[in-house]
Amino acid sequence: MPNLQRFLSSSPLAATSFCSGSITSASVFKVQSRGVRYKNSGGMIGGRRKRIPLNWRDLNFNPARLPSAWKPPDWDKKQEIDYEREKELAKYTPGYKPAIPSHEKDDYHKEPVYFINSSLPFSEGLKQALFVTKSVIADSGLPKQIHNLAESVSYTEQDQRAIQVIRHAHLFDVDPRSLDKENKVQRWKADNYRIVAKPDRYCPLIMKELIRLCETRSFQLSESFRNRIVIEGPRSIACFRRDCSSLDTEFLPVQDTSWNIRFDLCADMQIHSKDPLSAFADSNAVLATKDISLAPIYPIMPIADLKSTHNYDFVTNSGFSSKFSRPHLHTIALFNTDQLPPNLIYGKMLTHLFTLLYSKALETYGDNPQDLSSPLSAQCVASDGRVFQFMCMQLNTTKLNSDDGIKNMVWVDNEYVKEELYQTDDGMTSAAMYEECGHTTWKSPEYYTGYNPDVFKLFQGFWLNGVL
Amino acid sequence: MQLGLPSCARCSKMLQFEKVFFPNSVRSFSTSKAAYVKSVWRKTWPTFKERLAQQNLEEKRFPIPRKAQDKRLPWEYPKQADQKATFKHRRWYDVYYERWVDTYPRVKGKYCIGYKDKRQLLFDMETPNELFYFLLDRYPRKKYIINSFDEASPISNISYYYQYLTHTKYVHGMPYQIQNAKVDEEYMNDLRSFVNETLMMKYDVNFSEETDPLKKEQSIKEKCFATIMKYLATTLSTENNQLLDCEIDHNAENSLFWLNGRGFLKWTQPDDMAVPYQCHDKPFLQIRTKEPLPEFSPWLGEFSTTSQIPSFYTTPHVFKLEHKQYRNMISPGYKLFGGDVTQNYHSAMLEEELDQLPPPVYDPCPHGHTQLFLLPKQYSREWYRENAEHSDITGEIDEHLKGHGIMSGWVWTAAQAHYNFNWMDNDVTRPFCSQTIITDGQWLSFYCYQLNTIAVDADNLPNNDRRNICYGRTSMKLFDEITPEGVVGLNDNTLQLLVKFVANGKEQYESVVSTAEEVAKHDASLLVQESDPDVPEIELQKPTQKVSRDDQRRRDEEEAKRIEEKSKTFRERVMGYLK
Repeated sequence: MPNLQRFLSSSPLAATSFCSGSITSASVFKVQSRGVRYKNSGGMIGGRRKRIPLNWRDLNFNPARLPSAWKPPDWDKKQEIDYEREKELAKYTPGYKPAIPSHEKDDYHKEPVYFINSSLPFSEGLKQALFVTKSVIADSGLPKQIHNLAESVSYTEQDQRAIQVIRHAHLFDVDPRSLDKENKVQRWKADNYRIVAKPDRYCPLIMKELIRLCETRSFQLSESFRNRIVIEGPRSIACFRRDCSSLDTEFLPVQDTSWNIRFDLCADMQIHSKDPLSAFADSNAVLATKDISLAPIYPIMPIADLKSTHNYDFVTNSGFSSKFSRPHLHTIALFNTDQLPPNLIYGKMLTHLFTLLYSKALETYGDNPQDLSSPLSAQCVASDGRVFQFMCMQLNTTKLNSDDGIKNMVWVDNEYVKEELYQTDDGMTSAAMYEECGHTTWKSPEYYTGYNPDVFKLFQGFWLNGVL
Repeated sequence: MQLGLPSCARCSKMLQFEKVFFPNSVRSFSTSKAAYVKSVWRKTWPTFKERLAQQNLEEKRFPIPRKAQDKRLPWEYPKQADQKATFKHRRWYDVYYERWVDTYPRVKGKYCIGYKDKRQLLFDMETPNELFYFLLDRYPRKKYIINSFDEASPISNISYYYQYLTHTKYVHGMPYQIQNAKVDEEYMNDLRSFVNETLMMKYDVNFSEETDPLKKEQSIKEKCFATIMKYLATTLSTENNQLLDCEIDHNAENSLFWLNGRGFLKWTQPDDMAVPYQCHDKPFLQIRTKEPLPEFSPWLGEFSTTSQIPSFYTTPHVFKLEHKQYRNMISPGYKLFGGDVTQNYHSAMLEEELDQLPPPVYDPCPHGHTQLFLLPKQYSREWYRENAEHSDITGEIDEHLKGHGIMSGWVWTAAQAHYNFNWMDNDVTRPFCSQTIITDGQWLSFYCYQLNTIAVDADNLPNNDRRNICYGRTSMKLFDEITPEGVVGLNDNTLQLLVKFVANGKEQYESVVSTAEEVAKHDASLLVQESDPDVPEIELQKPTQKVSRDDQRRRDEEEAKRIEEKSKTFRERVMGYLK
């Protein structure tokens, strides 16, 4: 017995074999040196087999728990590119595109740009977007004229039609992906479990159909329907230099507080018109923004979590040629298919609005940073098919090289947004059009619950702003 | 009960776990492409007993309880919620064995949809859901997959073949009500400028960055045509009131399963089996309305009963069509009903509200109006010319388009008829009409399909003198070219036809058609595509565009010969005669 004890303490392999019973086979890695043979049979009949190794001593019970940042030791060596060899290959191989080091490329700049695109939103949401675009929240809630318009434009059948749209998307829409053409899914499962509509299918459908309802209404109301056009997926780019003079750099790792920033975005849908949208705030209100300071984001840097690159072109482009007959932006619609929370989606909406308005301002007023003589305004709606967010923006200035002076103005449908800005992710709330809609909502005979008529009323008023 | 998405594939009998996503507020986010969503696997049925209750008793192991369940004599079973309900429940709860029992009618004797006398059970069905269960799910055989558009298909004169498959009469020209409808001039002016500006978006708007030029072109076409169709649906709602309440499907999928003819399917089976077909159709956009379209040709008229349909004497294995087995499907782009899924019954029973369970809801817009197809991105008319792959097959361009029009019209209207509780033995009692537009961005083809019969299987066809009608006009140019300066040669006739199609409805019909005789007279004047009775083979037929093309070619050859003859000297000519 003492012999055995000594043996056990010296050999780690044998020692671990005592506690083998409690370890599941999932956490067991094979030792490379000797092959492990497993029993082929055993375990559940027809189900997953529990494979039991014949020789327990061949098992390594201490697999490395690798952190996510771990990489193989030769990884960096393998990733290195031999540029000279690339040049040689390009010399002798026709059509070969050699890899070039980034500092030798044409679009190399010494100073990096911090960029945002549609797949990389601001991680801090509205708070960060407000600071970067030099905007302030002008008032609690949306401008009053929109609420008044929503009242005057509404009609009796609108709720019924909106409900029809919701039920169409959730109950009757056929998703081609759910049709099983390989016999992979059992029938009762396909009929009873795979029936939940997916957000990337119902969200665009609901938005497109609601927009069509509003367009029909605008056609009934006035002639200005012909001045408008709905465009899907145009791309616009805004590049600017942001200097945050008010930032307290005492405890920050970086002392320099000016950065090149580039927004490159594709809106899902947007409506353009021949006439510009009227301003939301008058000149007095614009001048009053001098006294309001930007909402502080102190522990966070304005460029926190933005990616940077040295290869870029620093050109602003609104995405529309000068010949285009409907040059003025009216409203943007965003499909929130990833179901981002309100805070992030508000940030995304603001970046979209800013990109389009800023690029338009540069086109009309020139590249020099200035306070605009007549401010540009536009609106944005975002939805995941259930919860709707509304935002209005008025671009007053393109002077982004200081935090003082006139600021841009933003209105949000949430009345308590100023307080909720400093809460955590789940602090912010938005209005839902309905509570639930689906095949299993059997508590109501119409298979939807909690319809809120105010949301579509507001949506319609928003969309028909400037029509009357 | 909250339901999750697809199940664990390894559970052979019952869905044990479901995936449950946390609500928005609990999710965490990173700067990566999509926000990652926190989720857990949760048991669908909390207890083993509940899970077991979802299964029926097996007939072999439990014959006596099964017989008792079938009869459900009043002194054996208490009266239950489903017997008091206003609609037919899908299942009822057996309190003794604690199992749910399906309310489908039981099969007695032999059941097979291939023969008329063996499918009489279908007349006992009470809901379309039950009908589809027996018509589709009880037929687990291989079927031929038909593509409505397949430019690489080996079938020449494909429209004749599709005529045979769908028992359709193809007519060159438009029906009376479309032909004679009038379009307002002012409206046309507005539309012309709007279409001009929409098509010019190709140059005026910078769309998303897409490296593949074909994909980019296709996405721009999609955006332009969606905009134009929505503009038409919006602005024509004053003339056509049903467009106010219409529904538009985007990227839907229509499918149809049907039987046609008899033939050899499998070595172990008799060689006169009913041949099954399945077609899936992917319209880019389709409009559905609350009221059906008025008929294109009189329902009881002579035009819908006369014409010779081409025939074909073997199974389609000769064309190497796809032949495989999966679930048989019928749908006109929307689901048959909403709600009334089986879990609702269980959750209602747990809350003791089985009496208050609501009936299924149906789509308010079941009637197809117009559907729009975009041809695939690699489609090109140039490809049909003589090239390294094949000789000159430009005659097949119109054949493929006609075939596409016939098949899409058949699939959509016949699926609507099936949703209306008709099947091959219970034929339709009114025509089902809908319209199809097919485009590759520049060329448009227009079709009007009137479904007069769905009894096209081998047992019903000999006694059936009705034919489906497809009116068609192929290859109309919308414009000649789009240049950075503007659109060149916008075709007015095409635009007018587009407007007439979307404006079609009760109002337009009443303003145009006064008597059925006019329509019959108009129909009689149209050219009908029929196969040659002397040479009935499909590949030997001469459709109109091929005849005119051959004539043209012959004329060209004669002309060339004449010119050559003229250019010769006297001596050469004499030497030619002497040879």
